[in-house]
Amino acid sequence: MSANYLNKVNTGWELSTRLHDQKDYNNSASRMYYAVFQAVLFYAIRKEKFNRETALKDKKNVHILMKRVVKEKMKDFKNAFDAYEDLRVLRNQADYDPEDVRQSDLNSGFINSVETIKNFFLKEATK
Amino acid sequence: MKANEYIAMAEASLGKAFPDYVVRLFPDPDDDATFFAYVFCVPDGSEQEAKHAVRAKIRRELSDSEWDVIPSIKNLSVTQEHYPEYLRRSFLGKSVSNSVVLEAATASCNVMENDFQFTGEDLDLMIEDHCCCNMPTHRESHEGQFDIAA
Repeated sequence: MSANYLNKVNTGWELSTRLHDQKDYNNSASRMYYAVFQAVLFYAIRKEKFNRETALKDKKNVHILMKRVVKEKMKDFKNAFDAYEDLRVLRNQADYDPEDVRQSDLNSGFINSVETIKNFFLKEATK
Repeated sequence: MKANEYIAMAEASLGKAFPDYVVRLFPDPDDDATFFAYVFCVPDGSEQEAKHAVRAKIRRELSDSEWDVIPSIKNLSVTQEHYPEYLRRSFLGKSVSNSVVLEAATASCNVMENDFQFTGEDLDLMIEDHCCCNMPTHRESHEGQFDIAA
């Protein structure tokens, strides 16, 4: 099951990169968010015994649980949590708002920050 | 505190701190513990500065609750194109001034002379027609915003 999560993260990230190259910034942002989200989920399942059924039973929202994992685990990484919040905003904009995500929103500095989050959790999960 | 009370409190707090912007909280459609603070009318080119300032304010004063608030900046161009109901009056073509009200009242009197009866509501509509003014309306959710089923 864990290997599947790892594949999903990598496939999602590659797809996001391809969509970015094709200038489809809405779908790129959406895929990017879920690639990072699944990397955090992968870590939480492996290292923090996160269980989806228990979370559902306790009525705990998975997105906010993953956000708390990012906040707690990446507190030593300057601006990582800000980048995760910004990615949530872009994903919301891409999926629900009338205006498009722009190239400047997904600039290389921002993508590097987001990739750092993804790689951090993949590395921690597979330690 | 109930969610609607928290929204009112947060909007008032952010509105007071950033009087040049229009701030509204909308729930994240995929996470009922998170609100996006939509910050409208931010001058083009000042988005990053505004985001950092709003985020700092949120973390300083609004983080001690069961809800999370994330700033979502909408610059003036985006506000004008996609969210005109959140434009400040000063950005609209004609603001409500005494002369606009007088103009509407005079127009109303002229019509009344022709034996038509008008209510206060009619006069309000005339004033609105004359000043092209849109008051911001509160939108409970993205679903409500776009009239789509949740």
